[in-house]
This record gives sequence, structure tokens and C-alpha cells, in this order.
Amino acid sequence: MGKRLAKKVLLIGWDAADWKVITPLMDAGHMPTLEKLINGGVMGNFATLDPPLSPMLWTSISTGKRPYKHGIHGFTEPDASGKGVRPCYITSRKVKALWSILNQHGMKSHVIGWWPSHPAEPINGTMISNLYQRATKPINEPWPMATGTVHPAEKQDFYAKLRIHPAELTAAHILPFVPDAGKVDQEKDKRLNALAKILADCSSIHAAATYILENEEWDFVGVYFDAIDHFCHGFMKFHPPQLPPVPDDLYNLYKDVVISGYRFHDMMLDRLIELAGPDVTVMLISDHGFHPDHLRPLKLPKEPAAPALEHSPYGIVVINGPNIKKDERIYGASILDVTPTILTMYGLPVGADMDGNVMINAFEGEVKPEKIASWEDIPGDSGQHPPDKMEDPYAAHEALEQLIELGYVERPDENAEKAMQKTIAENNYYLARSYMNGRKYDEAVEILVKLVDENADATRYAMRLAHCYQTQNKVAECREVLNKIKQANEGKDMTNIKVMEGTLLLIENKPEDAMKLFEDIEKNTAGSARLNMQLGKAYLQMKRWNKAVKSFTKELEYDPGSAQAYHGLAVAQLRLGKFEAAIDNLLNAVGLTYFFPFAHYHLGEALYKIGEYAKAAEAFEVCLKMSPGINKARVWLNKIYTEHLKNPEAAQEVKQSMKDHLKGSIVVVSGLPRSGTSMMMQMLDTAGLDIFSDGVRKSDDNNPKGYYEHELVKAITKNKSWLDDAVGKTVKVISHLLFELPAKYQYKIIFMERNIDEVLMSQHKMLVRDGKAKEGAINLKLVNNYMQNIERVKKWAPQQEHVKIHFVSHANMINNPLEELQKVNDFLGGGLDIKAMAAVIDKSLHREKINK
Amino acid sequence: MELEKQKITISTRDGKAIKVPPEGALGLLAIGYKGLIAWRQARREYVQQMKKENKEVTEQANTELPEIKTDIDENDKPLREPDNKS
Repeated sequence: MGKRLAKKVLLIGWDAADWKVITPLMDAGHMPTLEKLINGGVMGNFATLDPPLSPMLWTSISTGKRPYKHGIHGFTEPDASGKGVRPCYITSRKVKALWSILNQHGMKSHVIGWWPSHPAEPINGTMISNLYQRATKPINEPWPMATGTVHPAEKQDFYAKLRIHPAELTAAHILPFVPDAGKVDQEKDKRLNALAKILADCSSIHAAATYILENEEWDFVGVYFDAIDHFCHGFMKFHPPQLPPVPDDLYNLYKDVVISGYRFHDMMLDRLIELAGPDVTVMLISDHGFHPDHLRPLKLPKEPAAPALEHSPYGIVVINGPNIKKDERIYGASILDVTPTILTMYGLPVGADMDGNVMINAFEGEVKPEKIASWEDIPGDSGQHPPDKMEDPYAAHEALEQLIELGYVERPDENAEKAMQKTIAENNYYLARSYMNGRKYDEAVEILVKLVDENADATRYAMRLAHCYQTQNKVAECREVLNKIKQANEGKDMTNIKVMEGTLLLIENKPEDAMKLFEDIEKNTAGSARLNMQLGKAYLQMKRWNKAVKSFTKELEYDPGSAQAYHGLAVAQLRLGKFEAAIDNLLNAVGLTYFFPFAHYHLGEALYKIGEYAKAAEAFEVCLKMSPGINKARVWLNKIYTEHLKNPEAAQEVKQSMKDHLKGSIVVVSGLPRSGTSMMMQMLDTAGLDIFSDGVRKSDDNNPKGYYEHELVKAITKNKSWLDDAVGKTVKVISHLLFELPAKYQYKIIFMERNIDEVLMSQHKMLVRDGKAKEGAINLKLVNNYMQNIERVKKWAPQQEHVKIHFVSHANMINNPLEELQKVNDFLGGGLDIKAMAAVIDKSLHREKINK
Repeated sequence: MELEKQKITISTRDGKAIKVPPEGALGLLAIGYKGLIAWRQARREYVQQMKKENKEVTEQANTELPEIKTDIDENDKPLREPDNKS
């Protein structure tokens, strides 16, 4: 065990809490407890995951793992009894939670209201499930508690009496939220009922939590409040500033509800901290934010979990306690970091299979977290349910009614089988989104292809599939899906599809067509702010850096929390040579979303440009940790360790790592145009090598025996995805494009060297034959350019770990083919029939000669 | 002794006892289980006192407050209804 940095940890969850609401409240002195907690500790943004659905998120928080690892994939799941669907139960969680690990170490944990936590697990402590607090019947009817709501079971009756029924609440409780509540016609407007339910729920959780803190021994307490989320979903539409569709009377009645909800939470927080006692580490978090401003959607579509569209991507994190910094900000934290950080606080190692990181920057002094492969491999009493745990169908039904009432779940079809199938499909959709969020696109595609096949009417599924294909640069597949979506949605709004089509045009190297489409969309959607992101990306691809800066700046004016926009802006500034500005914006990007490999990559590049080599290396290392396949980061690291930091051991490690991450080998035939590359391609074809060519460019008088080219090579600056298909094959790439070859493959380059004058003459003849130049008007300015290009290749190639190059003399190939071809054979590892290759040479085609 | 039968006194941080109103208060809920029990005790005592005095027991002990009734109504619509029905 490592050094213990916390005596006790109190983890408080405020679902949907958002700095945009909290900050002005603190400034006005309305959240003094939270302000004191922040001033004595650290605070920051807390990046959420996609999809931002609370049961998935709170399980990621308690396990440190993404949903595709932990097993909770939605709000509901098929009922094991076959009667339909039920809310997700804790028994569906496949991995250990934080308290399971603490249990194995004999620590006492209490968990109240976590989502999901029913049936309560038999931990060393108390667990009160998320079915505890919700009243579903009027006050004059019995309010039974489902079996398994409280562990230990003998305390169930005791805690039942600490629940508050909404009907108990009076005007004294309601008026602070709705000062004119007396004017509400409660027969017509049921919002006061909804408010009372939310308040009663969170007060019940709070009552149980305060009892435990004051009366039980504990090492860890985790308490979850869903009230802010519910206040926001019900009443954020009335929060100032007034939204256009909201009538004045309703706005005036309900505009204070959200603010009052937050203020009440601050009051509860005061009590929790008081009862927790001194020297306790308090961690206050939310799983996502909630748009309180112009980003509030005016309408919600009729689809499952539509309310999640009101969520924003950043929640809150505050940590206060021994060994925690004071009055500081932390950056780049995510909800996946909670469990790794708390384990480190207890001196326990972090599982390497956890997706989160320890929030090291929150701690004073140096903290070196320990790691083990996985906590799943460590035996012990984890306080989890045994495999044969019985289900309670009453609880399942009651809990489902709860979710229906909250608007999360459609009332299931009478046909239970249909309901189950719908739930399975929807959960698979969320699972696919989770894979996409973790950049596992192959896994996402596998699920989405099946979903789209089986659910032709679900455009959402098809749009995600198209998005996956687009991210993977699979243009044809993406286009096929988009065409099907268009057919299925004729007459409906196609803006999203058109934007995707525009991006596909860029991938296909048709920037002018893409720009026309984007400009057309912009005109017809009255300047949709979200289009600025797409336009910015388009300008980046077209290398129109200043226009890209304008577009991303506009996007940031609309949404200052967009990490993607900061990154796009920084890339444009990097290319414009504005390195300091680029660094600032890249730090903004990773400060918002730390898991952003390319932001770290570009940060490394920018730091390199200003000579900060050590910091640049750090940034590249972070990039590779997140995305080990980005070999071009290793190219930079090799350069930094070799040329600047003079660290040959680190350089050697990087070179080896680069080899380990190569995706395959490609033979490249290169040289200046008209230097004999087609001839070499023909020879290699004859020798039996697999040629990567599409045959689009037909043989002609310039090249009677064929070009052996592929159209995709021309667009390599914009699309490199085709190289996956070129692995194990031979491809022609002219010398000017060699530097675009990505560092994730091993290249053996056969470089044709021909007398420069012959090259120029041959090029000129070709242009004359094609009617593109006049006889005799040879462009001599090209000589310098071509010479420089070859020099650059000769300097570049030996510096690349993933490149081996062999220069072939064109003249010697014509005059002594076997001699040259033997060297080519040796270079390629032998086994080639050099005589057959030599027979390809047609001296009559060597038309432009310089006799020396 | 069962928790709800214990006499719970609510005081300020400097030890001054607070009279718990029978209609309750947000502050009592914020105190947690002790505030809840003290409020329920005050409410029971109010009801007993009104019955003893043959007076009408109103929902709101403080008649200056408006009459507001909240309860579970199984016909209530979900909190978040989609606006776009298409």
C-alpha cells in the first residue's frame, strides 16, 4: 500500500450541477458553504462521457471505467423474468465499484441513493438504494419499501421512517422556490406537485445521510442527490433570461426554482460537512452540466432519453481536505477520474484497466500513484451480490413506474417481448455511443450496422453509423448510409445530413464543392452557430488558415466551452506561425477535455516551435498514452530526444515503440514525374508484387505500358485512410508527396533518379502531347525546385525510423538492368525474378536522352 | 427509545434554542434527520393542542401562509414532456 493521503472521504454527487449557475450565485453570496469549500480546496470543470445518461455516468464514476466495461448501458434493461423491462439494477454492473475495493480492505463504507444501487449490496456498512426515496402513491395509501432497498435488511424499517412524503410539505417549503405559489391554479398547473416531489426526494436522502454521518463509524460515505437535475429538467426553461416561447405569467412564477434548488443544496452541504467532522476529504462532483443559457434547446424531439439533450458536457468537481491544494484550479479532469483519485487517497493502487486518471494536480506535493493490472483479479470479500441473487418483481415494476413518471422512459408496449426488444436495441445504441466516445469505432460500427439493419425507421442509429464511417474516412460506406437516411426522411430537415455530405466532399478532395454546400447551408439555416465548427474544419482542410480562425472564433463566441473549437483555432494559429496563441488555445482545449490526443499532439508541436523541448516531449508522451497509434508523435519525440534533449536511451525506446506500432509494410516507388517510376512499377508487377492501382489513368502515348497509379494518392494530404488497403502492396507516390506518408506504416521506398534535364524534357514532351504546352517552351525554373526536392528526400529519409530508401539510377537501369535489379531485389528481401523484370524494359521508350 | 419518540431540540450554532414551527421550514429539512424529527414532533404537538382546544386543525399552522396542497397524483404528466411530437 502507498501513503494514505486521506483519513476519511465524503463523496457527494449533485447530478447536473453546473458552474454557469453556481458562479453567479457564489458571487452574490448565495452559496457560502460551497464558496468556503472551494477557497480551501481545488475546483475545476468535470468532463462527462457520451451518452450523458445518469445511470451509466454514475457507474463510471464509481468504477473508473467506461460503460462498455462496467455493463450499465441505459436506464432500463430486459427483465430477467421475461415480463418486460425494468430499471437497471446494480446486479448488472460487471466490475467492482470503489466501495467493493474498500470493502476488500476492511474499510467501512456507506452508500446512499447511488444510481443504480438496487438491490443494495451487502457491503461492510450501509447501502440505501435509489428506490428508497420516491413516493409513488398518495399519502393516505401505504408506502411500502421494496425488498433490498436497505442493507442491512434489519435497518429497513428504521430508514423507512426517515423518508418524507411530498404531501407532508407545506407552503413554508414551497414559497422559497415559488414566492407566488398561492396564485397557482393547482387543478390546471401541476408543477407544485412536481416541485414537492423533488424536494421530498432529496430531503429523504439527506435525512438518511445525516443519520449515518452522525451515528455510524465510517471510512467512506458516498451520497447521491438527483434533485438539481430534476429541478433543471422541470424548470430550467423558466430560468432567466426568459426564453422567447415562455409566457410571462409562467416565467414570473417559476424563474426562481432552479436558483432556490441550488441554494437549498448549499444548506444541505453545510450540514453534511459539519457532521463529517474535521480532517475529512470532501469531494463534490456532478456527472454533467445543464445548459442555463442560450444553449438550452427550445424543443426536445420525441425519442428515448431526449431530456439528455439539455445536459452540457462539463460538470463540477471540488476537492477539499488534507494534502489537497488550497484555492487552486485543476484542469482536464473527467468523471472517470473519481475512483482512481479516491483509491490513491487511501493509499491503494489504481487498476490499469481503469479508464480514468488520478487527479494528481489536486494534491500538494508529489503523488506517485501505484498501479496493478486489475482489481478484478484480486480476490476478497468485495460486498457484491452473489451470482444467484433473487430479483423482486414488485420493486422492478414500482421502479419502472418511477422512470415513466420522470419522463425518461416511454410506457412499455403491452407486448412485453416488443418492449424488451426496444430496450435491447436502445441499450445497444448507447453502448455503440460509448465505444465511439472511447474512440473504438470498429466496435461501434459492428453494433450500429446490426441496429440499422433491424431498425430501418431509427434515423438516429443510421446517423451515428454515418458519423463512425466518416471518422474512419470510409467515404463510400458513409455515403451509402446517408443516401438511405435521405430516402427514409424525404421532406424533413436535412441540415445534419448535408453537413456530413460536405465533410465527405472534403475527404474526397473536392473542397470547392464542399464550400458551396456549406455556404448554401449557412444561408438557409439563418447562420446556425453550430455550422461554424464544420466550416472551420473545412477551412483547415483547405489550408485557409485565416478563414478557419474566423469560423472557430465565431463558434467560441457562441459556446465558450467548446474544446473542439479551441483545438481547431489553435491548429490554424499553429500553421500561421502564431505559436504562443496556439499554445494558449490548446491549453484551453485540454483544460476542458483532457482526453484529447490530438490536442496534446498539436500542443507538442507548438511547444517545439518555441523551443520548449522538454514540455513538447511531455505533450507528445501524453498524446501517445491516450492514443498509442499516433506514430507521428514518436517521430517528433525521436527528434527531440536525439537532437535537443540528448537522451539516446529515450530516443531508442521511442524508435522501438514506433516499430511496435507500425501497421504493416508498404513498398513505394517514387521519384520526380517522368523519372521511370511507371517502368519500375511495371517491373515489380511482372515480378509478382501486388500493385495498388485503380487503373483510372489509362495508358497513352506518354506511357504506352500504363501508369500504375491510384487516384487516392493524389489526395493524400487530405485523406490517408486508403493506406490501410495498401499494406503489403506496392504503390506509386511522386517525390513531392513522400513527406505526407503517415508514420504508422513501414515503407520501403525505391527512388528513381534520372538526369534532371531528361526529366524536364520528358515532362515537356508529355505536356506538348497533351496540348498543355508549346513545343520548346521548357520551364527551367523547375530545375531548382526539383533539385531541392531530391535533396530534401535524401535528408529526410535516413531520419525516419519507419523508412528505408534505395536510390535507383535510371540510366543504369536502362543500360545495365540486371545490375540495378539485383540491388532492388536485395533491398526488397530477395526472391524476385530479375530477368523477367529486365525484359520489361523497352529502350525505344527512352526517348529523351542526354548523352554525356 | 425509538428515534421519533426522542425529544429533539434544534439550536443555532451558538446554542440558542429555536422554536420549531409546525408547518416546518427549509432550514429544518437542511439539518437532516434531526430537523425532520423535530418538525414532525412540532406538527404532532400542534395537532394535539388544537384538538385539546377544540380548534380546527388547518393544513398550514401559520394562517398567514397560503394554502398549498401537494401530493402524488397518479394522473400527473411526466416532468419532462417532449415538445416536438413529430
